[in-house]
Amino acid sequence: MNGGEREYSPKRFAVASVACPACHVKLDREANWCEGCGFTGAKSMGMFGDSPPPLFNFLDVADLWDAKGQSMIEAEVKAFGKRFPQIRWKICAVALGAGVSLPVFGFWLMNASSLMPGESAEDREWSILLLVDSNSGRASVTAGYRAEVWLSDEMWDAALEECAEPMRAQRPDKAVVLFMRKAQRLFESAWKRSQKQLSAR
Amino acid sequence: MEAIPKTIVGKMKALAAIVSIFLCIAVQGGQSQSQSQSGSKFGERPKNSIFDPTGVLTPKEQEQISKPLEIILKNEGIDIIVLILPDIGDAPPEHVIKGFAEKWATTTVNSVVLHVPGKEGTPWIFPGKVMTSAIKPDAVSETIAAAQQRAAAEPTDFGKVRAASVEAADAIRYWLGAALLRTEDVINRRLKWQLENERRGRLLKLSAALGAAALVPLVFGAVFLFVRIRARRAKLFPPLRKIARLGAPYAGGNCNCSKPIR
Repeated sequence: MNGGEREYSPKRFAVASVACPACHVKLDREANWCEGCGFTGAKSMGMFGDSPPPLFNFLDVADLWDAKGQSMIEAEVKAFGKRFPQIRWKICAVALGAGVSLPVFGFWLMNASSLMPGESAEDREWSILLLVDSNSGRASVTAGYRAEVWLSDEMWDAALEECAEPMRAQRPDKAVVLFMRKAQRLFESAWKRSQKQLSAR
Repeated sequence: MEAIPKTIVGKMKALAAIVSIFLCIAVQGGQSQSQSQSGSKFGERPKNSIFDPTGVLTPKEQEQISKPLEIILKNEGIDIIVLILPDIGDAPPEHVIKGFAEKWATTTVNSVVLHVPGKEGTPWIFPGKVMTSAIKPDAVSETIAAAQQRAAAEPTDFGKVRAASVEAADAIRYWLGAALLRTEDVINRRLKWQLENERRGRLLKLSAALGAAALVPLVFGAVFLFVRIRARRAKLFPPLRKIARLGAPYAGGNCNCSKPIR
């Protein structure tokens, strides 16, 4: 980002409030800990350790996608990146143990993983992690500070809904593709909204 | 002379005066009659189309000339009037016969032959107005001059008049054919021009309609492309200030969405 470029407050564009990933209590945007459960970033380190795997753009620990499916997803990520070059996607399939909270795990992964070569802190803050747990059959989304502003939980829920049908049809690659397309449409609307907000000044 | 008595001389003078008076009256009467016949008062058109008040041609000669003229008039509508006048003074021949032509001509396609015995240049042939306006003036005068020359070469009055009337009829016949052909040509050309114009108009309309029809999808295509390109361009969100929470460097984990997807 250019040094002279004005940075807006996230509150100006935020469509939803923020909540604790552990207990879902509504949080102040600048809270250092959760007043509901006392959750902090450090606590997540205690839960999952301090040596997370490197956060590649595509990580399939659970061996959910085959090569063809992977290239389909990568093509979709690439197309998305052309439209919204600020947004970075991290697509991960993991096999978590029972009782592990997927949002907390995503939170930990996003923050604890070291930056990849060529990746800046701002890139990570614009990143969105789609996490699929092959064991529980659940999926979650964790967005960086700069990416979380544009879509609400309900919007992400709607995008994740797109995954259900193809997942049931044993098409995990298609599930991600449809999810990303829905996410792209949602970001289109968010972008238009942001432009209106800017011009309304 | 001296032997002639004065009374006889006086009587002779008186007789001479009376004779001269009669002669004057006769001459004036003749002149007035001639005037009335030569144009000021046209009177009735002669049935044989030959006006010969002084009888230059014999009836038989007149018949030889008028018969073919009647046939031409009947069959071809060409009216030839023959005028044989004893004198026209200094008046131009065309002026003299203009009045006759206007009063006596029965068709618009006419010609007048004027013969003034003994006058230089006689006979004259004057084609009617319609012909002179339809044919090029140069062509008319050239043909007429040649015809007059041929007629003038005839030794007798009868020969001159007959030759002039035949030449006049032939000239009109020729011109009529040419004029008809020319008219036909003009009509054909005009028709062709109109048809060509109409064809061009139709082509123009068709081209315009096709152009417009082709333009519509082009415009739609251009608009569609514009919209597509605009929609496909990279979209940047406004730059945001980072506000960290929960002691996390990159993400606050705000999204609580964790959906079962199977």
